[in-house]
Amino acid sequence: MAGGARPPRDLPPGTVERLDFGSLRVQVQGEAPSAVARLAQADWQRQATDWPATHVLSLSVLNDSEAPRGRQVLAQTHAGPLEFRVEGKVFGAPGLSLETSVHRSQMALNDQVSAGTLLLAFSEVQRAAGLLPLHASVLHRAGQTIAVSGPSGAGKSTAALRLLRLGWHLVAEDWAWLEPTTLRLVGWDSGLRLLPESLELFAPELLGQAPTDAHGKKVLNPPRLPGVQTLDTLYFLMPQVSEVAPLLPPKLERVRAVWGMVGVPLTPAAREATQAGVNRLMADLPMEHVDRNELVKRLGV
Amino acid sequence: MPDQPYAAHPEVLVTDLNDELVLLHGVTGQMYSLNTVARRVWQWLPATRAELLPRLVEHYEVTPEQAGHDLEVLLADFRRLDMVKLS
Repeated sequence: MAGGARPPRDLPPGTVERLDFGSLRVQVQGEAPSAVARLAQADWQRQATDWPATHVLSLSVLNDSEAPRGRQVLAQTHAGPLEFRVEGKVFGAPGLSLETSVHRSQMALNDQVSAGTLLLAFSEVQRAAGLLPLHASVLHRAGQTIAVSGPSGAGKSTAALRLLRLGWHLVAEDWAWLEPTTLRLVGWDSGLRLLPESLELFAPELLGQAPTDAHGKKVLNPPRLPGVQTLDTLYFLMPQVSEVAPLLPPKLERVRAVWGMVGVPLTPAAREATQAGVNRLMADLPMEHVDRNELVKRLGV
Repeated sequence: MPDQPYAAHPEVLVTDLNDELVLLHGVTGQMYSLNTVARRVWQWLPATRAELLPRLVEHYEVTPEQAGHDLEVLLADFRRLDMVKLS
C-alpha cells in the first residue's frame, strides 16, 4: 500500500474496535477506529514468533484535532518518504500520536492516519522493545542463515535471486526483525523485486511470468521460509564501481553500513534500544563487505 | 554568560566498539571517532563546563589550566560538528 494511502473506509465513521494480540516483542492492547484497527491487525501480525512480549502498546482513539507539533523530520520508509514531527518523547503525524518508553508505549489514532505512518510507528515501538529492523535480504540453506545488505541499487535482490537458484531459501526480501541478543530473526516481507534486465540475465525463463510493479520492477514470489532463524553472517555488498566513494577505515565502514541497514530511530526510547542493539551486533555478529559476484561464488559452493 | 549544560545532540547515534566510540550524526551523516579523553567527556554529558573541568583534572591528573584548555577545544569541536546542544 502506498505511503499516502489511508485505511479502507467501508465501516461507519466513529466505529471503534478493541484489540488484544501479540506482535513480535509487543503486546498490543486497547481500542482504535475500526478501519485502522483492522489494518493494524493484518499488518502487524505478518509472522508469529515464540518471542515473549516485553513491551505493552496501548492503543486509544486520537481526539485531538490539532496538527502535530515539534521538529519536522522526513523519514525514508518502505512506503516511501513520510513527513512527521518529533517533540520530546512524542512522535506525531496526521492521525497519529506515539509516545514510547522502554517497556510501554501509547499510540493514539484516528481515521486520518496513513498505512505507511502506521507501519513506521509500529517499527518505532518494536525498536523500543529491543528489536532491530534489518533492511536486508535474508536467506537460509542447510542450517546456515545469512543477511545481505547494502545501499539501494547495490544488487541485494539480484544476489538473492542467484542464491535461490543455488539452493538457498528466501527468508525475507528486504525486511526482517532481529533480536540482537540471540541473533534470532524473522522475515517481515516476501517476494523479490528486480530490474527486468537482472531477471533477463539470471532467470530469463521467468521474465514473462513476473508482473511489473509501479516502479518498473519485476515481482517474483518464491516460497518464503517461515518461522524464526538464527543469523550466522551479515554481508554488505560493495557499491557499484561508478558509485565508489572514499572508504572509511574498515571498522568505521562497518558502523556506517550497520546503521544504514537498521535505519535511524525517531524517538528517544527507540534510539537507546537501537544503539544497544547495534553495539551487540558489532560485538557478536560476523560481518564483512563483499563484491556481489564474489558472494554468489562463495555461497554457491 | 551562565555556564549552560552541554547535552548530546538528539540526532547523534552512538556506537561503542569497546576500544573506540563512534558518533554518527543522523542528519548530516558525518561520522567521528572519539579518543579516550573525548569519549570520557562524552559519557559525562549532560554537564556544564564547570562540572566537567574538575572531573577531567581528577581523572587524568592534569593541571586545571591544561584541562581547561583541552576542554575548551573539545567542546568547541563538539559544537562545530553539531554533536552537542546547549540545553
